[in-house]
Amino acid sequence: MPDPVPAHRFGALVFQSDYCLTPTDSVTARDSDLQRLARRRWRVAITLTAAVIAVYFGFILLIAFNKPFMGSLITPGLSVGILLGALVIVATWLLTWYYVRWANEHYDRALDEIRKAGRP
Amino acid sequence: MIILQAGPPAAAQATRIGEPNAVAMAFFFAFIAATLAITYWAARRTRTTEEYYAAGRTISAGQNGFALAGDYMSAASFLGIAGLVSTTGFDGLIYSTGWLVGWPVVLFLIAEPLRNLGKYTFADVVAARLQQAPVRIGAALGTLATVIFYLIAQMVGAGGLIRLMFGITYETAIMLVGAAMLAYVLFGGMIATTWVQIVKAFLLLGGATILALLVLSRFGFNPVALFNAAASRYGEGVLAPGGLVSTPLDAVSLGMALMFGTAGLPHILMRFYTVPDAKAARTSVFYATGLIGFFYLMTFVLGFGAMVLVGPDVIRGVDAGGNMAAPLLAETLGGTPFLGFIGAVAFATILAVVAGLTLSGAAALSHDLWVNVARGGHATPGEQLRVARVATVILGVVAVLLGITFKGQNVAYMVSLAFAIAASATFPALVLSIFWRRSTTPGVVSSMVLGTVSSLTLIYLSPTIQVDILKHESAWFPLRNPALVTIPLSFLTAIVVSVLTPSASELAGYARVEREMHTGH
Repeated sequence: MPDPVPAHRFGALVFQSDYCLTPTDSVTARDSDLQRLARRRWRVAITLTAAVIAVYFGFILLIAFNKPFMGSLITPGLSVGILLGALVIVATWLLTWYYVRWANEHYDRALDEIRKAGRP
Repeated sequence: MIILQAGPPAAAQATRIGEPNAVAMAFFFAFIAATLAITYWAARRTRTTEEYYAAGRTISAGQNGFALAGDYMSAASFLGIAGLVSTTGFDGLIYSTGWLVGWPVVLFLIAEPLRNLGKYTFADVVAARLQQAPVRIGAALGTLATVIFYLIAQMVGAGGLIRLMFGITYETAIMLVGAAMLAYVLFGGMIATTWVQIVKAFLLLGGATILALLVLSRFGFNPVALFNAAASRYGEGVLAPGGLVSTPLDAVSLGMALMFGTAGLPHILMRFYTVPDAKAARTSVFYATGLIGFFYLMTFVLGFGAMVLVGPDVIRGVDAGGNMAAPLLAETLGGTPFLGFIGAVAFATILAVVAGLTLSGAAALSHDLWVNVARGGHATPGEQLRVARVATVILGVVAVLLGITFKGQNVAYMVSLAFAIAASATFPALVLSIFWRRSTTPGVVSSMVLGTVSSLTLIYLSPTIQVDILKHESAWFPLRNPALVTIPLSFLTAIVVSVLTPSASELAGYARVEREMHTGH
């Protein structure tokens, strides 16, 4: 079986894992490609999680420490607090939408390439 | 009378809540008949454990999105938040946002790895490269604690609600819920439970949307005009934060429980096994987040609508907790028939959530404890299915008994308890076993056990139990929700114990887990 993965696809980072044996082992090589994707997915996931935490706890801390600001009116009937509350919900939608778009376009495609590379 | 000062419409003064309501009965029996028909259809398709626990993995992303939303939007959110907003204004909205922000966390960290690594329960994922028996016992401990406290809250809420809506006794109401739920879960398994959730989600979203549109029609379809009417009648204070977040640490602690608890709720996690693949799991959370966010945006309108059109004094007069705000609003806007419809929707809501909880608890008892611990993973498919059904009956009976035992108790602390346990016992172990290659069996198990025990202990020592219920002078632990302490404690325990007990074989096993997590095989 020929090496199914072109060598140029691997950067210097790829073979640093503690269980990879040799760069010529094709299974290991495929896993290393996967590891790179895994790290990328983890970075996206943790960044977006941090964004949700920042949005929600920013809202809560504003309520806790700056009640007058949250109660100030933008127009009669609409306070800053109500607007920001609705925006927390909208931000939640946007973040999930962004992740799903990223996963559908980039993550799935990279995964497909790894799967294809796995077959002779 | 105070009511007259607030100037409520005439209908609110002569509410028919608490009297047997023919329309509510009719809608309720129509719902029971339809869901039992679904159960009969589902029972003929439920022959294997995969069908019983995971609906044969044939649920589409869209269907699962509705089912997730159905599992999550309990009567607490529909009745409780509408009630809070109608009596406190802005403060109630803090909950509307808090209950939603857990969903992105589920999507980013949990949904896809869970689908690819597990079969029926989240313990499958944690145990993927760790030792089966200790992991599954620890996981079942957290799952059962979460499920039981969540079940008590739903059952006690159901009993009170149904007594108010239908005029039957509390005990009859509890047994009715228990019997209907057992029929769904026992015979129809996950297929029936999923479709009951979907029907319920449609009813709840439809009912709430109609109600919100009826409210908005009185204000030129302009929410700001509605808020302004509330502010001009009850003061601008209703649009500003009040006393609910008087102690910031309490607010942050509750926020943490809500945010990370959602990603540890066993009945939510189990839903990801019902879809064909990880992409469907991902898409289903996207739909669920859209539906649930839409629902919570409507609680803004329903809450302020009830405040303006019914009046806080009338609402508190019917139920001190404000839980009848949405039904009262329905009665004001659509008369007794619409009150009946909303009442039946609330009943359906509770019934469906109870069914989902029972099934996930039964899976922990039978799949984790019996099949994989007691029988060492060697049980015939027939035996697995029998044990699952026995576990379902046990949990159903326990739920009814606990519901009757805890009659009249304050249920809010039990929901916060369920979320705190889920966030402290399940979430850290799940995340670390998925993403951290150096996590070990002792680390993960001690985190699950300590997460469960510490959250139970700190809730017992909190002001909610010590001051409000036991009437003591003060509480040993100052926070009402323990998540601020127990979530970091649980993560720290897992990390420290894992570092102290390194395991070469478990570290090596991570390569396979990492591959499966992404590729599914």
